[in-house]
Amino acid sequence: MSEFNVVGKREPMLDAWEKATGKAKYTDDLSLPGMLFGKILRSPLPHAKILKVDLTEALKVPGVKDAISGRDIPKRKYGIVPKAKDEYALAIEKVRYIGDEVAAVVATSPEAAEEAISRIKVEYEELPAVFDPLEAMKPGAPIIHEEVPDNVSATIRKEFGNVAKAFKDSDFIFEDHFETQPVNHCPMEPQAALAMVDHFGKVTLWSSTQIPFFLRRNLATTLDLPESKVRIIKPKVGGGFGQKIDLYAKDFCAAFFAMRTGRPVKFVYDREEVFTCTRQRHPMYIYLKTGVKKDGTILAQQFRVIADGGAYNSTAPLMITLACFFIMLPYRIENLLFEGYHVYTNKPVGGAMRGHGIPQVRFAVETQLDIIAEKIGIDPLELRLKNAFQAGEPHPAKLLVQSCGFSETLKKAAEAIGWREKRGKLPFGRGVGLAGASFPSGVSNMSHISSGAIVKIERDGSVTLLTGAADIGQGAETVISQIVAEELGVRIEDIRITAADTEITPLDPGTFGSGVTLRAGNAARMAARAAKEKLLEAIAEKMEVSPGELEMKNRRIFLRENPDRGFSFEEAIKIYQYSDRPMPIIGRGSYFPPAKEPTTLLHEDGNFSPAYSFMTQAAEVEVDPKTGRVRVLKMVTAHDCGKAINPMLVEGQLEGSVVGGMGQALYENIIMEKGQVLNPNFLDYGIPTAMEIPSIESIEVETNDPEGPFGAKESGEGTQLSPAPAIVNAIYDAIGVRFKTLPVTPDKVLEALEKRER
Amino acid sequence: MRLPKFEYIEPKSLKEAVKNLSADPSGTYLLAGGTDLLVNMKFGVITPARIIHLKSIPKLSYIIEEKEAIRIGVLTSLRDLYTSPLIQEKFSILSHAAREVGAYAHQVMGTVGGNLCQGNRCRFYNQSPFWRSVRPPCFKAGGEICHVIKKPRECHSTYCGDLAPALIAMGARVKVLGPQGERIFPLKRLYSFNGKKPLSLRKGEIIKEVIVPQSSGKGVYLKWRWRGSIEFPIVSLALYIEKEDNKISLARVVFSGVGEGPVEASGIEKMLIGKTLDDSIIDSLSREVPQTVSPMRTSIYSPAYKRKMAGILLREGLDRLKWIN
Ligand SMILES: Cc1cc2nc3c(=O)[nH]c(=O)nc-3n(C[C@H](O)[C@H](O)[C@H](O)COP(=O)(O)OP(=O)(O)OC[C@H]3O[C@@H](n4cnc5c(N)ncnc54)[C@H](O)[C@@H]3O)c2cc1C
Ligand code: SF4
Repeated sequence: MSEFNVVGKREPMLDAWEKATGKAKYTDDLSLPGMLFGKILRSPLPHAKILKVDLTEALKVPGVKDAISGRDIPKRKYGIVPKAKDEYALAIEKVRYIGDEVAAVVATSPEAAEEAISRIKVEYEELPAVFDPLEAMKPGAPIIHEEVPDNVSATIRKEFGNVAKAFKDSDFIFEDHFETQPVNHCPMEPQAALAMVDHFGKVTLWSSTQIPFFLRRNLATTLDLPESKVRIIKPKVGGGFGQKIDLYAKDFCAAFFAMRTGRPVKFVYDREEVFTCTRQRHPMYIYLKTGVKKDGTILAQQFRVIADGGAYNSTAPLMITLACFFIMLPYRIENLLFEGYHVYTNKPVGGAMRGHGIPQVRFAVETQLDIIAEKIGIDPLELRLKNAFQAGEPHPAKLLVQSCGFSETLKKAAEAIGWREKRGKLPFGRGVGLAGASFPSGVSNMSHISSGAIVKIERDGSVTLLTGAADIGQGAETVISQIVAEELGVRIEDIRITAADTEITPLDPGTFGSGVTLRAGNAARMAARAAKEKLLEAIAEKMEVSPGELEMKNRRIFLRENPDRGFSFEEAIKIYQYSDRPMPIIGRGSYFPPAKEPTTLLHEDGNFSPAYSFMTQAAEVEVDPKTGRVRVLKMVTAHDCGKAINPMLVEGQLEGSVVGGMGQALYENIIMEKGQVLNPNFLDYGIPTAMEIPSIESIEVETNDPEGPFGAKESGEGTQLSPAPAIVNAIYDAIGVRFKTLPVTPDKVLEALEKRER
Repeated sequence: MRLPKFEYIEPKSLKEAVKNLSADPSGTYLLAGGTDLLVNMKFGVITPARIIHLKSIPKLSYIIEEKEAIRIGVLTSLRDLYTSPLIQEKFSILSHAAREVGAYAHQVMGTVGGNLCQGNRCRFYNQSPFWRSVRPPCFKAGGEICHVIKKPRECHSTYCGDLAPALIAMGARVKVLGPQGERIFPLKRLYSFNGKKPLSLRKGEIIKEVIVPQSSGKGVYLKWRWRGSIEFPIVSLALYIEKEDNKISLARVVFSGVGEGPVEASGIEKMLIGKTLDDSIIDSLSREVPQTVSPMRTSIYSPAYKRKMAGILLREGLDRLKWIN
């Protein structure tokens, strides 16, 4: 028998039934009496000065209640990273990309709102625009933000070891250029917000957000209100993948119009807005130089990474930093130089997306490792094993890796894909490939990353759990409930959870950086433990033993040494009450990831995540040489997630993530022409459908991390780092063509094959 | 994006529908499954004053086999078409084509008539009002110029339907009802190759039935798209041949996605007549194809790529028919 009752079980998600039957309420499903519908007018120009916005005709449309432009809003900038704020909720002086917000209206019907925005007259003075980051970096390029005359809004330069010497000592040097494309998160639920203002002027906003508490802060800033006047409630959220960590115009406009009109206001983005006006994964130009010894030991790596940020920063400094930090694992690299640039262009905005800056660079590293392996005549798997980082090793940049199952993931993934039998041995058109990666379980050294939880044991033996964690479909509420149930020795159905309401639930940073299970899970476990201790104290008194001798399991409290002596949970609660102790039994927990060696990420070395996960993806592909179509037949994902609190949810995360990675490798691409997105819909944007999904084998490697709750670490985000290189490496094995630009679409494969024939 | 306001009519008979349609042919649109029309209305490129819902008319969904031909009612859904054992067995080219349309939802809602009459497509036209606001309106959307060929008053929007090529390859005819009564003509003639007004239907005419002759030959439908669902053809090919003494006596080669209507490659058809399919014939004909079609840049795929894929599809199609007598 397992040592746990609830943790480690394949519990269905708590809201699976609700969602599968269509009963779950997302933001757009909510409505309030007298509610108005909003619509945003967006810029048709990639770069222009706004000379005049005339709202008169819009206000004449029957049903229209209010209209605003950038001139009407508080001049308060916002941004998800405090030092990189560069955006107004509506553009004030100029627009910087096609889709930038210019004005907004509210009306009694969505039809009237649509009609009204078509009547707004805007006078622009068009400015020269720039669409390529390499062009934007050149002197004399159009300046997109006056404060950033060179258009480079975030940089990182990190160096350790002695790179020049290491290259000199290398037997082989490899230099390659890689390019990745923009892809969209495509959450099934488009961004939406509903706002209401009460008699005291407090704004309540229901929003499809990943980070209610950050949103409260950003919204309060843009509305020029104290945080206490803003309440954020997160209803069901239909996926985020990083796209819902930013504040958007819809949040601000819903709240601002609610304040102006006194009526509830709803804004819902349509799919085109999701594609064009939210966030996307940064396209990157990557130059990578690697020096190795004859035996395959990596001596040094040098990177020059140029990320196309689009018109605004969003997470720019963090993104480019993460891109750098996560090439320092999972391989041992003693000498490294990384130069990264986030560059403004007049295009849709880059932001956090599953893997956050890392998948692009990972693609370069893992593709080049295969190039290296071939050149020096080592099996790509051996090359990776040889350089794989191990737990407890001193890290050249002082990362603290307490648990690391990377080598094991490599071996298991290779075995599952049939590496020894297949690599280089399949007929033309079939091939296998693999790639590794590492990812943080939350970031430790930033402000505002504490998680809180409250656990109440009620009189009827049920448990109320308050957590700030934001479940956006990944199952956070289920997993945190499992953790509390396990700690209290009750069933998962005994837990009633209230989550992600800034007025009721304790502070939580929200869903990003793969820290939820670790952070919020630890906080909830601490809260459960605190409540449990109170109860045990009363029972120990009654049984005349010390609390330490008692155990709480299977809804009973009993003597560890003599399990027959004890009470049921309900009896125990009665005993507690009759001992004149105060009800309810409340436990509180606050968790801050330990900063063992604090770093601000950017400047000093040091540890920055409480735990690191490790993974390997392996792929088998089939390439049709007649048409160039690549089919992924099988994906293996071996993931060290510490401990799977809920293996079924971990598998769900891994599978979804693999498919996303496959999308980037083969299908997805935001195609742009002069700053306009040509395919802002699911017809032309090739997100994989059920028809494309390969067979997926998920292998969980459990390493029981000392910091994570019950040993748990990240799962599902890091998984998206290396499906693309695994697939691209498999394509090479299949047809002998190496692709360094994504996505690998049939036309490119066909062309490459034709070229080779000639 | 919301539907604009319109008057909505549910006629009880096709005759009544024809009467309503004739009253104001330019402002009135027929609605069948709505999977094409409603999208265009939400995009604001079609703004009907009046909509006639054909699905309120009884008895227009049927598949009837007769000695010379099968008759398909115009409201037959695509799903009914490809799940019909008769179609699967005798007209597999048709069931393949129907199964390739869009995704499951389109196949359940979409009708044969709607599929044949669906609008031509263009990357500058099938877009939201916001998207289109980046440029002046194009000719098809009521403006003066075409963004594809940069010439005034021309439209080269592309026919992308899946059924028409298969049906044309089978020699299908359509029966239409108009104010002057019924007429029957080859399906091929339904398409005017005028991007702005792609159908040759006369004022007030409604398609009632599709008539597919019984056949002795073999056909294939090959659709090229990058994903296994949802997408229109980048290019597709319907190929039908009849043989006598192992020599081709009749050939029809029809492409979708490469022109203002379903494009019949009559040059290739002629070259096929009298031939025995062997590798060298197949090779030389497939090499001809890219020169015989002339797609425009109306989608996110380049004309050169479409031409190349058209040749590859013909090669694949002829390869498959090589062994069949
Ligand atoms: C995402 C998406 C993907 C799609 N993919 C494909 C695809 O792969 N292949 C494909 O072929 N189509 C595709 N379509 C288009 C469409 O779904 C199908 O063509 C469908 O068969 C249309 O049938 P309907 O009954 O829904 O047509 P409707 O939308 O009802 O009508 C389409 C047009 O035909 C006219 N019409 C309808 N019936 C008649 C009649 N009896 N007489 C005269 N005119 C008539 C209507 O007035 C209208 O202009 C796709 C659509 C979408 C939205
Ligand atoms: S081909 Fe030209 S006129 Fe026709 S829809 Fe496209 S842009 Fe408009």
